[in-house]
Amino acid sequence: MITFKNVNKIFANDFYALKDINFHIKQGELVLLKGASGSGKSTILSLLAGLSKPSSGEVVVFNKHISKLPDDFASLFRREHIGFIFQKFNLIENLSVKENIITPLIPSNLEESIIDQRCEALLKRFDIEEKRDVLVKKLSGGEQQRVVIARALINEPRIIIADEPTANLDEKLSQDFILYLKALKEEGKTIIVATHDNLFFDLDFIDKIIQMKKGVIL
Amino acid sequence: MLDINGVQSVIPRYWGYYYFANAGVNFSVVGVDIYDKAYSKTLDNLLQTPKLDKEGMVVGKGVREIFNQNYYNEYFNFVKSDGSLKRVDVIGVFDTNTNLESNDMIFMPKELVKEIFDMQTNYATDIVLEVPNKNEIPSIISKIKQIYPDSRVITQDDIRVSYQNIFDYKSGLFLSLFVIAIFTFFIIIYDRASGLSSHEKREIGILKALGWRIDDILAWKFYEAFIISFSAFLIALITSLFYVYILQAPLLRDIFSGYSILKPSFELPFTLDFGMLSIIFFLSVPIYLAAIIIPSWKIASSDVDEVIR
Ligand SMILES: Nc1ncnc2c1ncn2[C@@H]1O[C@H](COP(=O)(O)OP(=O)(O)O)[C@@H](O)[C@H]1O
Ligand SMILES: [Mg+2]
Repeated sequence: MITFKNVNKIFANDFYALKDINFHIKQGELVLLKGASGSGKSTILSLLAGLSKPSSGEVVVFNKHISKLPDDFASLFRREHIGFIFQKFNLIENLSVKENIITPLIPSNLEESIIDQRCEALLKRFDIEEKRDVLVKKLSGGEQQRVVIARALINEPRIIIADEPTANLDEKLSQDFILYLKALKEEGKTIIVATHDNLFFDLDFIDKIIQMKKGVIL
Repeated sequence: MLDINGVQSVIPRYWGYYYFANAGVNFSVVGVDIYDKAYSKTLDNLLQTPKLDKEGMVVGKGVREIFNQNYYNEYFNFVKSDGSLKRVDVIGVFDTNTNLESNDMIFMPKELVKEIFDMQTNYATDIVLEVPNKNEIPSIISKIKQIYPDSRVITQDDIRVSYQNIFDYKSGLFLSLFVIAIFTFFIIIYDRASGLSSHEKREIGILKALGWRIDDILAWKFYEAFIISFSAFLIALITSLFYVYILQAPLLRDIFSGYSILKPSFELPFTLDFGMLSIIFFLSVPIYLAAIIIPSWKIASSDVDEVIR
């Protein structure tokens, strides 16, 4: 379902952030991208989501050449298929919990009642119903993390991308996150997690680990 | 003077400043032929309640207020040079729209003016000559100087020049204030246009990662910037209206109206110049919008993958 084929990413200063990357991920798999900071994990995720383009090679998702999609189509592709969980939460501070959760669907032409329904279900699932109208900057770290996951699910994506999801969480919240991740996997989502957090490495529901080092897969 | 070639008519004028000691202000008293058809018609148009049926004076609004403060409601007692009093009835008040010009004015029949200022029968304050042919003016001036060596001749052009000078100085002051304001505005615009804050960039990046297209982001930015700049425009408009009409333009008013302390205080007539307003609008709101939209567009259409680093 997701294929990287001879992918190189070279930055302006002739720096190879990725060098001849090849891998394949099947539907419903949970894959870890492992490696030290600077090894190229985030670069892979950004190529996968169409946020940037490879210097050469192909990125194919659902039989679509993401690497060749014009910018606007890449956005529509993300809106339709991808849920993002960022390391720094990346919530919009001056908006409420609910507003943040529905942000991905604001430009869509989905009916408001449907968006509302989905949002209510997610608020309930992540136990933040009471905080519906609170500004996200007033939430605790754990609550913010749950808003981020809810936002990643509002468009009912088939692929979930998480970049260092536990880097800003304490042990307890990280464990909670792993439980959420397990549930998502059980729902059939395809999940790619970039991390160097040891908590992830002896989980029994991991399908594949891609070990990175300095832009190459070991 | 009528004998001088080229002079069409000679009109004596009777006017002067009357100092009202109780209030410490000057009134400009002007003598007119109220019953002269030409005058009364124009006067009628300028009056609040047009009716000039008896002998008396027409006064500006400022004069009227000062009269009232000193308990003169229907009439006023002018003190003549020999100390005796001359009572003149108020028969009309100038319309508020003429306030800037008429505020300190008193119009009355010229006979009354001569009596109050104790002018001799065949004297006048000044004399207006009407010369249809502009080219004859210099030679007429020199002839007048020959006949009346102590006279001072002022042409319409002289008056225009002296007004021009006053307004040049005043408009120069306003121009510099205006230039400062414009300059400040463009510094802000430059600051906005020369790059968004990292916070704003990040926000655009987040939205793009969440599946917003460039158009979606720009539409939202446009909406946001429009609300900001339009409300700034409205606030500025309301503040300036408040400053001018409620506070009566402190500081600027003195610059504009000159030696106003000696004159009755006046209220600024309300005017709203929609041409000017739309110029200000189109110079501010769209420029601000452009200064937001263009850099936003640049950011949104480049790679925004920093958000996931
Ligand atoms: N825009 C860029 N310009 C130049 N170098 C970059 C840019 N983005 C990332 N890099 C470099 O690419 C390498 C991989 O970065 P990244 O994918 O963020 O690593 P990771 O997520 O594994 O920590 C790093 O050395 C980083 O400095
Ligand atoms: Mg990274």
